[in-house]
Amino acid sequence: MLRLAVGGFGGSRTILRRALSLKASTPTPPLSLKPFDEIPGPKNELPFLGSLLSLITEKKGYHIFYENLHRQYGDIVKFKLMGDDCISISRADLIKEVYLTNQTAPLRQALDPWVMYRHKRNLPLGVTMQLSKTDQDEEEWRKYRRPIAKLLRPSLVSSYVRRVAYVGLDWTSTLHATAAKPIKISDLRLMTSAYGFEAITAILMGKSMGVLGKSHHEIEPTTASFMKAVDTIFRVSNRMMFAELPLWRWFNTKSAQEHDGAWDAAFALGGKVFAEAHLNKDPRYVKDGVIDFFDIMDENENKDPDYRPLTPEERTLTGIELISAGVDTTSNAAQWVLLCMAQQEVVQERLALKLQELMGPFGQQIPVTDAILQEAQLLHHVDEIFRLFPVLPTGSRFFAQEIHLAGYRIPPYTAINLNNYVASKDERHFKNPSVYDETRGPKRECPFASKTFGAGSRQC
Amino acid sequence: VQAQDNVSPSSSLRPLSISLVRLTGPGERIARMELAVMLGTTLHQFRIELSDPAVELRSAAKLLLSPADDIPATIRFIPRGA
Repeated sequence: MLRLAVGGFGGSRTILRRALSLKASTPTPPLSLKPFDEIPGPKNELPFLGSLLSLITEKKGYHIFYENLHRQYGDIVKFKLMGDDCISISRADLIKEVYLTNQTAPLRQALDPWVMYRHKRNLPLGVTMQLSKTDQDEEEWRKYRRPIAKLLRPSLVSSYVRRVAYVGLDWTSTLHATAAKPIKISDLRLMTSAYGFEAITAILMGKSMGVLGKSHHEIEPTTASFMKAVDTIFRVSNRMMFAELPLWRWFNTKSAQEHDGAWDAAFALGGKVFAEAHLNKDPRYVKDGVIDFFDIMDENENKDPDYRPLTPEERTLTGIELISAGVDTTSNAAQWVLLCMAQQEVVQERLALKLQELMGPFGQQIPVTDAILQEAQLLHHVDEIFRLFPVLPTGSRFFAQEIHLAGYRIPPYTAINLNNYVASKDERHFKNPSVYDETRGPKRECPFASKTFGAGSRQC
Repeated sequence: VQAQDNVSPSSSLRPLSISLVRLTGPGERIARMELAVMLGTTLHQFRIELSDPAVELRSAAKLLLSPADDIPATIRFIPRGA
């Protein structure tokens, strides 16, 4: 009965956490709160669809739809999508308020096609799709999140630099093979996808998958099919979420079939890839003093008596989520890194000279080390490129209770978009925001103006 | 990272101390490291050149923000020290 009373999900620890969370965040309503309906936003929206047609017909992408809304209506905007109330916020202090609330397990927008697929196939929702407006099993989410959170150990990520440095050298072999010929932007994506795929498999399994420096037909068929499935999932999901009427919610449309088929392939092929995780290791990674992430994922480091390791199916799911997220995020961001640096000719040459000083004469096959990353301040450059081109344009949150934000009452389960894309170009936080300046990071006054990966327990 | 500004008094959200909130997640740490390695290795061996350095780098948001395929420029990787 108690479980039902608190929403019908989770175990006793969940109930305790939720009780503490709600008690701690009991609001003291300010006197001058304005009603939700007074938040500025588009009028004359269509019944039920709301602003959906404007969103899906914005040819420059959904981030421009949101940017236009903020330009027209200000830092907080209200609109409707498919019958749901939504707000978008683009001011850093409001984004910070939302991220810093003491929810123990924050709810966020799920990718509906992915959720529907997993419900159809009776598969777990995993770390990415659990804890949303409709699915709120906190213990289940923690089961998947706990192993991934081990990557927060600073020494672990540093140790993986050694492996990714070899992937970097394989990447330069791919670049040498282009013989300095012009490459289309669309072809660059295939190259950076290969880099992202090799980097994450080196970390997870200590394996090289043989996709760098090879043409598509030379790649091992299972690996090629798996990469194609992952690419299809993201491409078709994008179409379903942001470019077509969501008829797939009710009908088995062509997009739904393509989407589900790609997930089926990803699970089947991913299972095969992970089942062979310990075979055919890259000799460069054997006895390199680095632990495969798959081997430590299941360590019960806190000696929790209730702990149980992930089942093989759960490990496969986690592996596919890590690879999918890793490949797509890294691939997109890597394209921005390369394009952005190509435009910044002075910065590029200055950084190249620093690297020459640290790594020796140009052109030698020298692996990058953790010390070089620090000395050359390469992470500052990456952060500035993330500010200019935030790989995730918007974050999201839901609250199960009414909240008060920017002087307005926000009803429970209003979809809150946290707009990194607009906030990271806000002149109130970034002087000359369109100018590349890698020194901004350490001096940044408010980190919440550029949090493309989110913040708190549900950050990427 | 330090907290700088206070939460607006109009909010009902009870803030956590920023020291209790992780500002860098597991995926972000890995992604930043992978990109920094790629950037360092690439620039040590290549000069990166756009056919039109002034071209607008437009975004075609997919689930994640990706460069538009139809950006009217090509990219070249010219070996250094050759």
